[in-house]
Amino acid sequence: MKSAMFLITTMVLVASAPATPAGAGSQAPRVVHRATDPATGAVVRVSQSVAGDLGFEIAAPGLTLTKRVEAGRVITVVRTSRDQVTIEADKSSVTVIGRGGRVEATAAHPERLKAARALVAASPAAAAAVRLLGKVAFGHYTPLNLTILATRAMLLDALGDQAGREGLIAALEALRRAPVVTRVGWQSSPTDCWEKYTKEAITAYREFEDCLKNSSFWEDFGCGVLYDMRAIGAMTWWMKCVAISN
Amino acid sequence: MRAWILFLQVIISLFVTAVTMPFVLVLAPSAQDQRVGLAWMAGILALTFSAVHVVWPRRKA
Repeated sequence: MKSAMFLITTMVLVASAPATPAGAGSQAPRVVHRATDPATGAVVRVSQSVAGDLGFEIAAPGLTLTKRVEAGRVITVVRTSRDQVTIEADKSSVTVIGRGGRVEATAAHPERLKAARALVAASPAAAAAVRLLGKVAFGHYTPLNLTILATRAMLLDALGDQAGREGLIAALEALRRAPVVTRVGWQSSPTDCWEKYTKEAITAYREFEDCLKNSSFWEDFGCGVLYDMRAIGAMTWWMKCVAISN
Repeated sequence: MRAWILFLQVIISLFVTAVTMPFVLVLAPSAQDQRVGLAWMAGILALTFSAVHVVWPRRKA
């Protein structure tokens, strides 16, 4: 039963992952979001490949967890200084690579799931990752939170603990019970807001300077009005952005 | 009435700050750093509010 749930959880993760064309992602992915968890100090990076696939990494002292999609496979790697466990899953198989070797369970060989679970359960790195993911707190209703909950649930299932799955179900139930339009994003930090604001403000000023060159008095007036609107708009956006981040 | 006047003064100060900040960011690139920039912003806001507050016309008693 637990093996089946492990398989189901990994399948859910695979099904929810975006499809990747084979061979895509040869170029280095671009980091699209970086955040530091206030509770643990862990640094989370979300990266995006040229093909649009998302990768997720959470790094804490002595532990790194990465999750990425490659050619339709969700690859989760948990690494500490002394241990490493890799879980690869797609729509038809789950492969676990740990210190004890490599086990691949497929639809044709579901009995291998038990051995796959045992490999994860024997990994100190997986246990450390579960502890870390249980502490991070990015807030409810955020994409990062759901990714973290799903990863924790997958690892906990392998360890024979259903708490992770229950936590994920509870979070999804809470989302279902509150069908409201929620603005989501990569939890822009106030620093991100400031960087975007300065970029927009500087662009507005540069364009204002360009606008003033070789223009008549009335055109200067128009340039000034446009500049004022952009400057005020930029500051209003920054104030809202900072308010949303908190 | 006084609350309305204060509100108007704050709005005017915010307007002036918003319009001045891009100029500051270009003139003093160090203001692009968040701490320095926020200090500039707070300074301009405080200065503008003080100026507006002082020159605001008052009824003679």
